Amino acid sequence: MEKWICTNCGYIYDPEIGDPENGAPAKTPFEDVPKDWVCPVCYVGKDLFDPL
Amino acid sequence: MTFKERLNQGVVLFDGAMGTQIHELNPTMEEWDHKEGCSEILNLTIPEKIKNIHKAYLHAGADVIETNTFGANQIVLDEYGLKNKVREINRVAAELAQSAASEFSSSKPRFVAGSIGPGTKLASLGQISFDALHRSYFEQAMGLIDGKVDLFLVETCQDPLQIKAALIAIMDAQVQQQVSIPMAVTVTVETTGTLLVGSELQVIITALKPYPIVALGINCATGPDKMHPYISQLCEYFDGPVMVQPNAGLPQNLNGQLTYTFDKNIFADILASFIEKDGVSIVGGCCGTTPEFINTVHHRVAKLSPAKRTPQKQAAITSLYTSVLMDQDPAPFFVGERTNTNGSRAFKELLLENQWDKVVDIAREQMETGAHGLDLCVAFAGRDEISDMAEAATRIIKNVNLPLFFDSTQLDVMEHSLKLYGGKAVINSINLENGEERAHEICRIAKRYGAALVALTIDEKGMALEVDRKISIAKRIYDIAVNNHGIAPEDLIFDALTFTLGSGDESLKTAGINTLEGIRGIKENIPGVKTILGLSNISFGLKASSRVFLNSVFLAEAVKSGLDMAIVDVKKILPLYKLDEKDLQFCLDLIYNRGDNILFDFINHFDAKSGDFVQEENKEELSLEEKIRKNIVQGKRTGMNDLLLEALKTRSPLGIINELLIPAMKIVGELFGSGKMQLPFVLQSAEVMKSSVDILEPYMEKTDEESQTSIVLATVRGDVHDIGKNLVDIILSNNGFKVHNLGIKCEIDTILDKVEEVKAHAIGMSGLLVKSSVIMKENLEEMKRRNIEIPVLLGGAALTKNYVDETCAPVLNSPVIYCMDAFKGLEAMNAIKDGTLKLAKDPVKTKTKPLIAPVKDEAPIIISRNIDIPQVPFWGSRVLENISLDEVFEYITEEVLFRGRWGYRRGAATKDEYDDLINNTVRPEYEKLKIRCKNQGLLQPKAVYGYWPCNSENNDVIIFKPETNKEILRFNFPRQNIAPHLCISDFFYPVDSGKRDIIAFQLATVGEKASETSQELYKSNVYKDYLLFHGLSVEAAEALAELNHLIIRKELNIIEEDGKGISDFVVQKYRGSRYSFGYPACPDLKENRKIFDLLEPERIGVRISDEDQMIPEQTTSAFVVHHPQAKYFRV
Ligand SMILES: [Zn+2]
Repeated sequence: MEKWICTNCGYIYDPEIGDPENGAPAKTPFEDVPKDWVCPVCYVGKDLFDPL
Repeated sequence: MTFKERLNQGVVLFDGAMGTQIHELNPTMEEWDHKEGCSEILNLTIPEKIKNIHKAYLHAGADVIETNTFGANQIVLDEYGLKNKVREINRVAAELAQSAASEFSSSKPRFVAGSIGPGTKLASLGQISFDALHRSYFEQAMGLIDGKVDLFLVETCQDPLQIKAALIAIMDAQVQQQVSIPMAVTVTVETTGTLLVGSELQVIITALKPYPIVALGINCATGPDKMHPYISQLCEYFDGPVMVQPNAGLPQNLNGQLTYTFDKNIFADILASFIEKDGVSIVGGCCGTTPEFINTVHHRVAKLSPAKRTPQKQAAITSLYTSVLMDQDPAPFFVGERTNTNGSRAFKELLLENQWDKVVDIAREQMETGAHGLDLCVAFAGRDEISDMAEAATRIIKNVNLPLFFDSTQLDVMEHSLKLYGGKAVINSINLENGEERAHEICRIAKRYGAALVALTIDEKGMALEVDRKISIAKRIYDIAVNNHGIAPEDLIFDALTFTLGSGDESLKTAGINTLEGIRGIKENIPGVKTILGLSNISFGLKASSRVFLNSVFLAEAVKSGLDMAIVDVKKILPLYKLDEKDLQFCLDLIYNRGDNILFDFINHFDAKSGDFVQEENKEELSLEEKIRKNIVQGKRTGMNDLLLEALKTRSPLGIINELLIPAMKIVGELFGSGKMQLPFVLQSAEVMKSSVDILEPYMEKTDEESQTSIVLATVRGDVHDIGKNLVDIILSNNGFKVHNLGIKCEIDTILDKVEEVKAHAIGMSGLLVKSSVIMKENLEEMKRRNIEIPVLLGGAALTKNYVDETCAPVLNSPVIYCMDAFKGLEAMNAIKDGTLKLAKDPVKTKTKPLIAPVKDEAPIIISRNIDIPQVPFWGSRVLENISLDEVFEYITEEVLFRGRWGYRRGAATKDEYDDLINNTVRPEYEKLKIRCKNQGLLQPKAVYGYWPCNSENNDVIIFKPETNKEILRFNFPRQNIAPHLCISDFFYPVDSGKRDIIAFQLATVGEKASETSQELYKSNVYKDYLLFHGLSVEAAEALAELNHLIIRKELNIIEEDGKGISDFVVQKYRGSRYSFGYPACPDLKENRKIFDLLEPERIGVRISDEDQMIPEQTTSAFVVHHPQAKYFRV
């Protein structure tokens, strides 16, 4: 599973860890993260993420 | 006890100003011997009074006093007619100081430092020759040795070449008198952040590394309060004791007298913190400091021990201005080969015509194409190589910011070149062809002038072809250079020699493999050394078109084998992703000698390749139309004028635009959409498009603007961000649409009036702020009210598709489209033009999850009240100036700059392809841009920050005046209306807790010039430069904020939770949080005015607009909360 980076702030989404507090349990590939999920650091949408 | 022994025992205290004390003496004309201003003569005329000054400092506690010989060199004394007294004056001055010291040496050991000042002329600027300086200092050093100084202090230096001349002269004098006396150096960093001649401090650290100095420090120029960035740089990179002798602040003009007013206690406190926090081990004073100052410092620092340091070891070389690492990431370090009479016919011709300015142009071009250093060779039979080298080198040194490799076989050329060079250069080259004695000679020169060496694996028997010989010759040279002459291993750069694979010569078939193995073997067997390669030899004799490929592939293989540097023409190196499978295979087969007829196959393959994109001349076969299209797609402007004029013979201007140019831009859009083309390249294509239309314009009849599909474009009320909107303008207007760009901060009335005036077909609204998305919705409501229902395009960082579809779109009966990027906007405009844009009838209602999942209701977050309140270093605000841009650049989040601001997204590309793009295109662009920003002062980092007492009261944070404890103002923060119901005020002690909490504020900008430059670039239609520069400037402001925040955490002593660097800081791996107004936890921009009231950033050129936004745009403000639980959240 690939890591994805927020192109607005540099936060890295690591699928191994996920973002459990915001609807993405550990081991969730980025593609399967909910559509309305936002960057937990700067709140931009999934569109602005890029595979690392 | 020797000075070196004393240095090992702890902090050493030097004395303070001599000049200031002499001024107090107010000598008579007789005492001056009618040479007023020549302080050195006073050693002879009033020795007792000078001795009394020394005694006052010794009495104050100084361990080391400096002789009164600052200007006692030949050149300065000659101005007073005292040229013949140089040696005597220095001897007497040293004896005076020694006799004073001996009277005080019962309590503790005292030392005399022979002061050697910079003189009055700058060698790097050609005001004086190295030899003249050397003579001048030699005499002075002889006298100081006669008078028995304990060490030399080469001080207040302004030019690295002058330092080298002084050190070499002192060493020569010591050899003559058979003594060994330690030498220390202090340099003066001006308020510009460099030495007077423009050298960065790092240049001094690198260039002096080859010299045996016992300490390096900074003195003079400013007070200690302005010196910290340089002190910490020295402590981080200089591998030896660091010293500091600040002025007593900046001089104030009081009643026509220069007076120093810095408080001696603060002076002592700052020096103490340099010792305890940074690891400085030698302190003292410069201009304006007195025995009283030194006594205060003595009491403050005597018992301190310097903080432990682990200086970073870096192999580097330098230009006059900048230090460059030999280990480039990505490797290799490129050495430009075009400034070479053996490599470039053009260069040779310029040399023969003495066209020195054009020689500089060639050097500069190589810098611009990405070279990290320059090979300079002017050897040409029948010409004077020494004088040619001087002509070329002096100009290049001053004008081109790249380290030089002096390429010559002549010892005298090497030595003369190095006498012109203040930085650390490289000699190219040494070998054993003429035996070891000559190699010793070259090592002596390299050692004396502190240069690195390129070493070729050639011995008495000739060039080494076999791997074993390459390694054994390298070992012999290493033995001579390192073991005999004490040259550092990293200053030996081995060239394992490259031979052509293009000759068909049987014995050279494995030459490529041997070179690669030689590089590997040298790196494995001789630790610490570097390797280099004259790359183009590998393809000598082959056709130019195939050489590019073979060179590029061989370079990549060599880097894998451990190659550090390559001598190349950088613009002829291809990134490997540009090669197709077959090209790569043929090159690898030839290099690794796979197959019987591989050379033949190789030549056939590349001969058959037509339309080679490196060699422009092969483009003839393309049709005119294809060439035009291709130029647009590839963003090439060259030749476009002729092509378009040619096309005009058969087509109308509008026909060319609609049938050739716009379809080409469509391809660009598709490439962008599929992730195959990055935004900067798109802009490059748009630039060509724009200039093409400009070329066609005079031939066009007045266009019927009304028939064009048009859009009114604006950044919404209260928002000053225009880059996104301008990109949309660029793309739309270069695709045949009429754009009415209304600029920033647009009221909806302005927008709608324009729409009615020009009968626009659509509206585009942009905005970066969170609150702009709310304003967009209000604007749509106003449209509804005014009954203007035309399509609306919305874009901006704070928008999401969901928000647009669910919250905005339902307001209007016309389509409201979310545009993630400019091409989505283009798509929508094309649909409007074609009449196919549809209203999304029933927006799919997805249930939006709360952005912060409610923490289980029964477990609200408890904010700890058991937090120690950090000690603030001062109350109120301070301006932070003299911030080095390099330091700011260290805190740039490159991923965000590259992928976010610049749009170099990986998207669908593979990781390797993306890495190639970054390494071969983006990074060189980045490095070039950084250099441009530095050289032209385009980014000017400044900040103001400070600390205030505070407490919370419900949702408010009250700020108190430090002196009176009275409330100055209060911030009001919103509270989450969902669990856990956080509010920023929760992180502070309440007003009734009895404890005063603290808060820090900061405001950082990279200056007005950045905004102006952005606008100029946009207006000049250099779209790509505009995007790149604007992106860097905005990220630099963020980086500066991050740096300022780090300074605050350090000053508050709360760095225990700090992560490793910027990539950790962006995810808040540090204690507490830094919040900016306008962001989710505190969205109210109006509160920013209060930060302005506190920090008064007008002092650093920052204003606040009527819409509460900061001008220039490249500015950030924030407040810093120390509570460990304080992190980002959203209300
Ligand atoms: Zn983010």
